[in-house]
Amino acid sequence: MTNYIFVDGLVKVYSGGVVALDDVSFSIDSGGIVGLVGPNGAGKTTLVKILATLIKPTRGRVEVLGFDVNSGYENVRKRISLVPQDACPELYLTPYEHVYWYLRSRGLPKGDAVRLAGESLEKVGLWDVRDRVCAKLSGGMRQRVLIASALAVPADIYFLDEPTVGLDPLARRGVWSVLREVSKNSLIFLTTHYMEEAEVLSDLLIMINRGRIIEMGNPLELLRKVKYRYKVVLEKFADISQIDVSFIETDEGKTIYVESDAELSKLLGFLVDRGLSFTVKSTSLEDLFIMRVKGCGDK
Amino acid sequence: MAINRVIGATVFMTRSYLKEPLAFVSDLIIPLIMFMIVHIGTGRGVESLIGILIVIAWSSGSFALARKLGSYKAWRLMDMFIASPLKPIEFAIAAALAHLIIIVLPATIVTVIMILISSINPASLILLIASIIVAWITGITFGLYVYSKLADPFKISSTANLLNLLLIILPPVIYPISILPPSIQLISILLPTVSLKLVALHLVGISTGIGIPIFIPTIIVIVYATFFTISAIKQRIFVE
Repeated sequence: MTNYIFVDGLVKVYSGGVVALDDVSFSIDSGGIVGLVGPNGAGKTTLVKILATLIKPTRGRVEVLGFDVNSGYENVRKRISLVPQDACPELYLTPYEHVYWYLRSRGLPKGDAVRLAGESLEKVGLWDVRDRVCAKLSGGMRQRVLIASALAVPADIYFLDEPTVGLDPLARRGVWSVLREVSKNSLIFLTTHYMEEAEVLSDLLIMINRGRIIEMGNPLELLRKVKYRYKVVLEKFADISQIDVSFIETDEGKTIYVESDAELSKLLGFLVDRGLSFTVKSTSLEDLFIMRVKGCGDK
Repeated sequence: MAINRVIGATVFMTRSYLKEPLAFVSDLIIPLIMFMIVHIGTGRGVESLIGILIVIAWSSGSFALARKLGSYKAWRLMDMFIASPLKPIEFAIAAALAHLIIIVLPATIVTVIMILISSINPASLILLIASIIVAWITGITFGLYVYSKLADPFKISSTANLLNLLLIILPPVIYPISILPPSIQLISILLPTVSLKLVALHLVGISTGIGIPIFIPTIIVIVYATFFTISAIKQRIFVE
């Protein structure tokens, strides 16, 4: 069986010597949803751009649907579809015109383009505004126009680079259900900043940082790698100098990871004695991600 | 089918212009004012109108194309076209055709004015249309050249405006070259837009009013067209 994606020793160095990807290797041989997560500047978009044949790799072997992205890019382009990051639709077109004429530009016959455009707009919830020009739509709706355009294409792989940025929670969940449906017959390669999104959607999750893969696997398998069961979050300026624990600074505040119930009970006792306020949470994939990025918490 | 893809992409890019059919009016105002000044001041109004037609064709091929490609790149909409079966050359042809469609109306208006104020014959009109097509093609290749040389898509519009000034407004394209001193005439025919106008004038049988043999601007046009075409073919407008 042909791999959907095969990457071996991929390196991308931009002009100026910036190393965006450094010895990246992975293989995806079945459909579903692959989530690619990482902090800003981790190399997510660069990886998508290489896989979607927008830019060339500096070194390494990259094959998409069995075709080398350098020599066989025309074959790749026939069978993929892309939602670029931070893209903007053609503002003077209506959603229907956008999807329909994008499909026609890909060579689809009129009948297919009419049917697919209608279905896609219906799926992403834009059918009711199909005849309103994009300029008059909200930012979230414009984003959905791009998603509808890309997902209307009959493709083997859909690359979506942060597709749900700017969508409200309801619209985001609507897109999730569309992606799940589309992924039944194809591969969706999705980058996202939202760990919840990646966790909920992905059949396979790839975590990337500073151009290198730091974790890869099924979300449940990855969750098992988190050796800590709980995290105790204190305010940013809480004074815990008298407690002998290590912590990391996160957006939430000072975060202490705890392995067992006994350890948690002991720690909470200390905190209560000192009158510190805190919240206790179960650890999630986001914690694994933070630990890996910050270089701590290996099992 | 390549033709289907080109038609699809052409319509995709044209529809926004078709929704503003009178958008060209503002672009025509300055050239038409220049025409009136030239017509009243020198009596060479037909030469001025031919210059305007060259300007319309050149601009639609070059600056509009560069701006379109630049805006699509800046909006990252271009990436969706790259990651598709549409080939780079098909995309470029579609972009150029989209801009050809939108010049039909202004070019028709200028041609009607020309017919009204002169006794230009049908054979000359055909040769004029041929000149306009040459200007359009040369403009396209120039537009692709400009686009491919500018890594930053946000600079394309300002660069296009500057080139617009240097190649269209300042040199004797809309106004007669004969009013300039001979030394400046020689320099100005090195510009593709000026040479294109001189060739067009010659083809329709209107005197250029200067002593420069017509083969010189003809050669200049051929050299530019060849250079920009080769450059445009070599440029990889779709892959960094």
